[in-house]
Order: sequence, then C-alpha cells, then structure tokens
Amino acid sequence: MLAQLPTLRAFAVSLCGNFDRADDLVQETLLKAWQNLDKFEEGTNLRAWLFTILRNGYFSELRKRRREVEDVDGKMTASLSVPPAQQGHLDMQDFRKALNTLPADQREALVLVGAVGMSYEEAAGVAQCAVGTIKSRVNRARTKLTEILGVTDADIFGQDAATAAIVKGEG
Amino acid sequence: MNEDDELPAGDAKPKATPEDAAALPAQLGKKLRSLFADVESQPVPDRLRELLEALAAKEKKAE
Repeated sequence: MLAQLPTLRAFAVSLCGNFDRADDLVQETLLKAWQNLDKFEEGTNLRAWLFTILRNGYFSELRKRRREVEDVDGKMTASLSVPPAQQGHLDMQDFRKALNTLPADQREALVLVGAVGMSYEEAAGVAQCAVGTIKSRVNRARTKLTEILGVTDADIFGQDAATAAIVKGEG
Repeated sequence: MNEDDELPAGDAKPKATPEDAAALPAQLGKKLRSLFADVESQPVPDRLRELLEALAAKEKKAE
C-alpha cells in the first residue's frame, strides 16, 4: 500500500482541490482499506481498489456537504476567459484553476484516464459507471477545459500571433 | 512574403486549423500529466506513512 501512496494522494488532490482535505481523504481511505483488507482479493488490482475506496469517500462527503463548486453562475469561467495568448503560454496556474471548476465526475474521469493512465474500462470500474459514461465525461471535460482556457494553437505552442503566422507561412 | 502582406496584430489570435484542433487533447493531456506528476513526486506526509506503519504493527501484534 505504501507504494500506492503518492499516486493515491495525487488523485485525492485532483478531486479535492487542496492538499489538506486530500491528505485527510487519503488517511480515511487507508483506514477503510485496512479494515476491509479481507475483502480484497490478493493478485487483483490494488490500485483500482484503493482508488475506488477513495473516490467513494470523496463523493459521499460531497453529497453530505452539498457544496460542490460547479461555477453555476459562470464567474470562475468568466475570470479565466482572458486568452493565455497574451501571456504566450498555457499557464499552469490557470490550468489548475480550470480543472477545479469542472464538475467532480468529469474531473475524476479526466484525471483517471488522462493523468493516471487508466484504460476506459479500468476507470469505469473505479468510478462504478459504464465505459460509455466515462468516455462521455472525458470528452465533456476536455471540451470544457478548452472553452475555459480559451486555448488556441499559438497558446498551446507558446508562440505569439506574429510568430505563429510566420511559422504557418501565412500572409 | 510580399511587401504588401500585413503581419497580424501582436495580440491577434491565429485561426486554429483542423490539425491544431486535433493536437489540443494531446497538449491538454500533457499539462494534466505534468500537474499530476508534480504532486506524485512530492514526499508523502509523515502522518500517512506513520499511519500505515502503525496499522501494520497493530496487525503484527494481534498475530
């Protein structure tokens, strides 16, 4: 279990959006996992099992608190709509903020597939939903991120508009 | 490039081509993995390691 801790913690941070809550969540997960070790079948996917316990804990807490930040009124989206082109690069800080504005289920799907590297099938197992649902959530998350970040090709590749035009041979 | 050709204004955004649009998921994925790896590479807080050690010690005692 010790070997899984860094990845488990990173997943918790991606869900919670802050380190303190994430560490509390990981602590609760380890306790639950230890108490239910008899239910874990040795030789099967320990990582997926731990991830499932963690995400169930997170969503259970979320339902209780009913304080998910989904940016319903669009304020966060509006604050991030300044094109990164003006800075010349896709800012990591803005990317992190944008990720945190995604609905939790989309953020979870995107992180499991895009960051942890799980297959759609494995991610669906962790999220306890159909494979099609995971694919849909990942696509919606990517689309939403693109919208929020106002990303263009120049932004992505760190070029200003004039350079991008020259590179493309435009004009 | 001809003399008559105008360079776009400094803050004008170039139009994304279909190829650029296809590259977007890969670039977003790269940023996402970088963000994730950054947290993964941090040292695990003592309280989490100590918890696992305490649980393992407790189980050993029970045996």
